[in-house]
Amino acid sequence: MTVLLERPADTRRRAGGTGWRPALRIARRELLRARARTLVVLLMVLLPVTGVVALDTLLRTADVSAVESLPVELGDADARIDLLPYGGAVLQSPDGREMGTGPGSGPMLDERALRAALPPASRLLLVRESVLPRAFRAGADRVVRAGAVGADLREAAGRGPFRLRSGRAPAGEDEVAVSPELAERGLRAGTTLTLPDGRSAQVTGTVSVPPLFGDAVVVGQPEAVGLKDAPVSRAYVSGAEVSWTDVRELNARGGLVLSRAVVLDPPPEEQVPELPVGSSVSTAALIGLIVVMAVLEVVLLAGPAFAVGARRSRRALALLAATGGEPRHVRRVVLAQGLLVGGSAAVLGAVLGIAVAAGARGPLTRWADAQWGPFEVSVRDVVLLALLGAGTAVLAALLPAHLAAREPVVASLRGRRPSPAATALPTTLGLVLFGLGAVTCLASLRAGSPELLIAFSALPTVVGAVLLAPVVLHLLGRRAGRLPLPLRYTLRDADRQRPRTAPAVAAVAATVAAAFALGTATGSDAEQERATYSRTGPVGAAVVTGWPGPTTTDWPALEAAARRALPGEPVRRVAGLASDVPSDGGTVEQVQLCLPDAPRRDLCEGPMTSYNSGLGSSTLVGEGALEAVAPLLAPGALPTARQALRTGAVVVLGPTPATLDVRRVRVEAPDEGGAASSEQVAEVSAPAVPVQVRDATAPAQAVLPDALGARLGGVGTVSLLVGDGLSVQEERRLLDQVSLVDSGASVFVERGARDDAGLALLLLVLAAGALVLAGTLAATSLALVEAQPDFAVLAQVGARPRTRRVVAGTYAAVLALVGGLLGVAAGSVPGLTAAVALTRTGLGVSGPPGELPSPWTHVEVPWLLLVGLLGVLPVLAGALAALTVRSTPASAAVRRAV
Amino acid sequence: MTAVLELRAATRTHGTGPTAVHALRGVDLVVRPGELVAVMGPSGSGKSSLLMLAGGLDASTSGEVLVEGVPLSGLDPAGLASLRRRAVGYVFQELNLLPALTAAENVALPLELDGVPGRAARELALRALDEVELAPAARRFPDELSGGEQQRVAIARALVGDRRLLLADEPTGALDSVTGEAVLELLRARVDAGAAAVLVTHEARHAAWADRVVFLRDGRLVDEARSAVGWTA
Amino acid sequence: MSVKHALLALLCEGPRYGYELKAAFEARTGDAWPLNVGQVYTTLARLERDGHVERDSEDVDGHVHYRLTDAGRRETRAWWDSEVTREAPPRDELAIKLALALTVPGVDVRDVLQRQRTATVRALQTHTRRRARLTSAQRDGTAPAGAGTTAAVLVLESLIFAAEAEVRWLDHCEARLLRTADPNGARP
Repeated sequence: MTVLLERPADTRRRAGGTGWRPALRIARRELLRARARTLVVLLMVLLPVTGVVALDTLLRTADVSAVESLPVELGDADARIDLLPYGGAVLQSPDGREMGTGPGSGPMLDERALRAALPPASRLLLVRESVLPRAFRAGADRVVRAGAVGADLREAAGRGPFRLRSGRAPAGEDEVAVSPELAERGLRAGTTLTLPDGRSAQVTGTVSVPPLFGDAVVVGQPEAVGLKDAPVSRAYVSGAEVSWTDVRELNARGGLVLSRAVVLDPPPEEQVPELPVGSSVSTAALIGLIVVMAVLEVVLLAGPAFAVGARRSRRALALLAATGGEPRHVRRVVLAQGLLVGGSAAVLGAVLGIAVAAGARGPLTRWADAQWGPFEVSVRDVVLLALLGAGTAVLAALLPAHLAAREPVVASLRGRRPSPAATALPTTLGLVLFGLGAVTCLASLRAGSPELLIAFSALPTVVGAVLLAPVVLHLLGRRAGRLPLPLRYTLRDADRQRPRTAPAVAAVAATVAAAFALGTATGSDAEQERATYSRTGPVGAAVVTGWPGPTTTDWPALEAAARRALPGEPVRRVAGLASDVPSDGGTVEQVQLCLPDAPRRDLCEGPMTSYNSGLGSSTLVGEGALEAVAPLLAPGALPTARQALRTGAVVVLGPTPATLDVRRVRVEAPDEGGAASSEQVAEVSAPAVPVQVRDATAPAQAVLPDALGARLGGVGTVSLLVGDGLSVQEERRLLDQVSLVDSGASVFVERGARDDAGLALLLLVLAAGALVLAGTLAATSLALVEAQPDFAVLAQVGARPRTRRVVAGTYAAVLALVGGLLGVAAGSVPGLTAAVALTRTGLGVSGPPGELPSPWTHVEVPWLLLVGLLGVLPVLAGALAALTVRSTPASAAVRRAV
Repeated sequence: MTAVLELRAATRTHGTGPTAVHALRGVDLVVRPGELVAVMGPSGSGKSSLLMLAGGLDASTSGEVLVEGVPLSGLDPAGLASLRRRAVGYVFQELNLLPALTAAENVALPLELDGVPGRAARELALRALDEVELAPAARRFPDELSGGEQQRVAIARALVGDRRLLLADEPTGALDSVTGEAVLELLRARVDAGAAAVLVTHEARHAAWADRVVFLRDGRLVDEARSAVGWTA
Repeated sequence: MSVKHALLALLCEGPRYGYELKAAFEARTGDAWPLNVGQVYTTLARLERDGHVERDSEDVDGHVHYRLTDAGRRETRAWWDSEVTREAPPRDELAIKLALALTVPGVDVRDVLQRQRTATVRALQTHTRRRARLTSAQRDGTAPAGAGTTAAVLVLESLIFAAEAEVRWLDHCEARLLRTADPNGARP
């Protein structure tokens, strides 16, 4: 008689993987039997994979590689050399996209040095550019703001980057070409453009312009576009290949090079200098965090589906064990379901994602009017994302598989539905993680920039909350004794079915935690923004200032331009003590308010620590200036201020002692050693009156009486205050006209604090709401499927069909509420900490929260969000579940349960 | 002849102390090849517990269970699972088959789990199905089979390959009496062909197919009936 | 059990001699109730006396064949047309035994029950086996495949169901007994 247990190994055991084949077969059939459930899980994996693959493909496609960009950047030129304005050596990558400064400093690269460094056969096209866009007058009253590029196109037209599209190349000092963008706006050949300096030039044609010059560009001889004295900023090389050696040579002289030859045939790695690494670490970490959270969310949402699948086929799995299946075989059947669903979803998602990207490419390029590279699918990325998707599904099946393998076979065979015991390990682990996250989070405030740390400490907190979901459900189930039937049934069943309900509650909790944390942080940030926003002038009025400073500005011309732009709108001059900011590093005049008895040093201590000078100067003069800032004064302060000016007192827009010294100081530019010398020009002592402003920061430090200004000297117009309640179009018109007079003039319209937070919170509630609803409804429908025998019993004892609806609604509402409460608990710690960190760093102050002045940390609990998450969402989930459930007739319920 | 199944003072107690429930108390039983032993007794007498112990689905509290001479107490869970793949087959009252698998795949399941190559497993399964006269139904799914056919597939699965110990728990409980008799006749035939079987039932008419009928009361074996007339004429 | 009517029924098929009748009876009833030849001849003599049968010719071996008279045919017809009466059951020894076991001190009723159960199951096993042999022989073609074999199977099954009913009744007795002994009925 053969002893069956000791057969020769080779006849039975094949190397590895025994039992996967039947597991896969059973899994496949089980998935096909439960189509609806399979579809739900499939979509949970498929949609994110589709989205991310499409995004990745679009980004790759939009991203123009160095080789792809050569025709646009260089035309048929061989290289472009950017002459960096600060001199000194440059380190660059072969494609010229990344650069760093090298050691040493030298003179700026000029034309002669350039020619010396290049192969003798090469021809150069030198380019000069305007720093700021310039205003060109086209015809009688049209104003066009465009960049000016000075290049001799007679020789280069048709070659290099500036290719003639229509018309002819500009030849003389009174001819220019325009970019296609401007041509489309109506600047066709024959149009006469008037330059800021009054000369005029005629448009002769359209040329293509590399994107680095901008869309709206006027090209001509340097003289034709007013760049006669501007330094050469770039040079295009034709007629000779520029080698990597040449590039390094030019680098050493301060030139950044884009060379066709080098881009097409990059030098070996060891010849490329090491560039200083940017801080992409935190970005990568944040992306990692988002991926982890997304995977967690999908795992938590899809997990219950697998748990229910395993539950539904409990008897089958027990039979598998009775037929000789080991726990690992049982585990594999459930895991194989994850593998099959995840694999199919990943493959489908990848294909679909690529298809979506291919379909969206055309419309997107038209919409964004962008130059994109050729359609590009990164096989590596797609495979990685697909693997991540499939892995997520397997991960979701992991715990259900583990639990299914641990089911007691005998009980399963006898059809018992035992309630799982609350295990201590996850609870303990959950508490530990929750605490760890909270402590890390709070401790992170001691770090300089704690945002990343807070984001990461949120992870253990959320995972902790996820682990605590079962014990919370268990505790609720045990205390359901005296509640009405639907609620009692729900809590008891949710407790009994924890392997399924806990992940759903956890998914809700994770979502709500993220939403609440983000909501608290952004809400507080916005609250601080609102509370600390300081207006620089009256809301809706434009402040026009000249360039480089008030003393050199032609105010009458600006005033006339403003009246031309906005006829009928008031135009007021604001007087103040002018302090020019010199462009050449020369002297600066400063006005200082000094406390009495302040030592006569360069900088005296004043009554105020912070104020604006958005009206052109921080020290305004006269009643007219006072009227200009009147809307920003605290209620009832204007009469006091007027009275003070009339009595010859200084109106300080903040706290002040009764008298102050006002000094005018001329400060010399710091010399090589860094020491600045100053010379006091004038000083006046005067009584001072404090006037409160509405905002945290005053629009200026003080308003002086006219007489006092006269004694100090240097009073003049510092800005124009134009109009009232200006629209964006009016602002644009004003800027156009003002730019014609002074190309450096600035127009600023104060529009008050922007309230983006409301929209952000709304989007947050919508996104969280969708996820919470998806999670709770999925869990509820799964619960109802499994509660079929219970409903059969209820039907047998005469429950009304409505009971099913009520139970369904209660189930969804309870899951959403419990998850919401847990989520708010988990999200409050990182949320509040982030609120403190954000509002604190917003001021540039850092330090432990206790040492901060209380008004400077704005922690705003978003009550509306809270009501939405804990009130509206559960009710909505309950209502949806109750409405969508079928109230099956009793007979059908009984039949189905058998 | 070696016993296929042997219980030596097998005892199974659930819980401890005053709340302890004694499912089996010191049961001795030997089942030899070619022997069908029926176990009768009222509900709760320990019939099913005995069956769970015999296939290693449950472990005895004390005493010993031997299958093909191997004491089960010496096997780990993997060893017990392997035992169920190679030596023991179960047939329950109903829903014995995995609904996701065809009849042939159900029969081949223990072999495949044991690593027998797919084709060989399928051939053995077809042979086993042929022995229960269900070869034509090989590609049908359980819900396309009648109750009696399902039980016959389950018997084929329980004895596929070289397995010789069939443990049946009320295998005809869900069938009408003629179909039930047919299933028992098949079981009898398989035993006559050399298998050993333990049949748990509370119906005397079904137990009568056995060579021996043992009676359980309160977890103890109290009597045994053995017909004077032998099975093989 | 009426041997008289059974013999009359068998003679309906044609004349038969005594031993032939015994064999036919046993074959039809699956050997459930063996008859001795003496009983057959006594009954035949009584039937002849009552004018239900009459002697026919003798065959070469000297066996006396009997055949039915018209009176016998009428008697047989009357038997088929009447039902087997069940209202006044024959005295059942087992029921009487159990009733006494319950009331007479010093007897363990459960032991009595179990002993009886074992005996009945053993009888059941025997009937089951006989039937199995018949059916398998019928399948193999070693037994005549006619109505006769089927008749024997049916008789055996009547015994099987009767024995099963008895076992079920014994089970019921035991359960009731336990319930009475333990008023809560809380036995596992």
